Amino acid sequence: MIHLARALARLVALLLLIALATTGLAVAVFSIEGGRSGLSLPALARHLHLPELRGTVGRFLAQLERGGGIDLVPLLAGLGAVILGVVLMIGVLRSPRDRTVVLDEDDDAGSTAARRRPLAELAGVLAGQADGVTGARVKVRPGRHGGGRLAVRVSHPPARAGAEVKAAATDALSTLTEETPLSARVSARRAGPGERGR
Amino acid sequence: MAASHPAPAPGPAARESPRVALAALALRAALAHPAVAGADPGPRGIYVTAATGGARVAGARVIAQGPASYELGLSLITAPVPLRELATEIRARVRRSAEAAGSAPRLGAIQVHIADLDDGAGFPTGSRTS
Repeated sequence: MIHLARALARLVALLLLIALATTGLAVAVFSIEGGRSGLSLPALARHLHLPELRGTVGRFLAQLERGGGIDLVPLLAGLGAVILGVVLMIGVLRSPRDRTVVLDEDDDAGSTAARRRPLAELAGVLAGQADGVTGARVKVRPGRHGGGRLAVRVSHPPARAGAEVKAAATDALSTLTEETPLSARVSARRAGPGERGR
Repeated sequence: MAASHPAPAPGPAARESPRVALAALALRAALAHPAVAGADPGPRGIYVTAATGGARVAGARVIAQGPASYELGLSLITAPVPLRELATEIRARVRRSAEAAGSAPRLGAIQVHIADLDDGAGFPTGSRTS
């Protein structure tokens, strides 16, 4: 979502810059002559059909001011403009989530970091080895100041107690979380009919 | 399953630069670890050391850290093993190799970046990684 918003913000910024540069060039060229013809600003306005545009916009605004029922097209256009504005602001102001989790940091020795995917795979393997776990799904959220959080969802057979399986999975993940700035939050749920127990 | 990106051997031009030589030496040492399956150039090739003549060391970057000292970054594909312990062992291997080659004084901090896992390598729970 963030990446899409950033791409859209970049595209809009590029298009706006092109439009601004083109407008500036046209205004500069059409400022060469005075009067109302040739390379003059009134001539440029005529070329761009600005008088007709003013009439069209004026009629539209007058129609809006008349009141009465809600006009669907302007309403949707307004809502679309608000949503587009919010998306563009998100794209400009929010940075994409860092894909790297810092596991340790030492100025002299150096740091150890891992991308989210291998960490999620590793946590999934560890949690999957715990007694009673039939499946594990992991999401990794990097922290703002190093480290991160593992959100682990494990499934278990109906015959096993969820708390017991959750404790086993948490214990299995300690290989990854002990002495690192990683924390794990494990939730357990009963496996579906198609999932095999151990 | 992670894709393996074997690091190309630096060409003759690489030996001319201490920076490229350090990158190649460090990557060789890291790849010799049994739990390291390959090297990864990283997003947009940020873990690539380029040398004159088109030679590239993919998976290692060497950045000046101070006068005649370099910070080393390694981007690796590893077996699913305890990552911090693995990184410590890789650092020790790289430092040993640098000492043997006489490059140790140039070697600063070593950043180890785990880019991906080699799932085919299994998971040696409770065992040391080397």
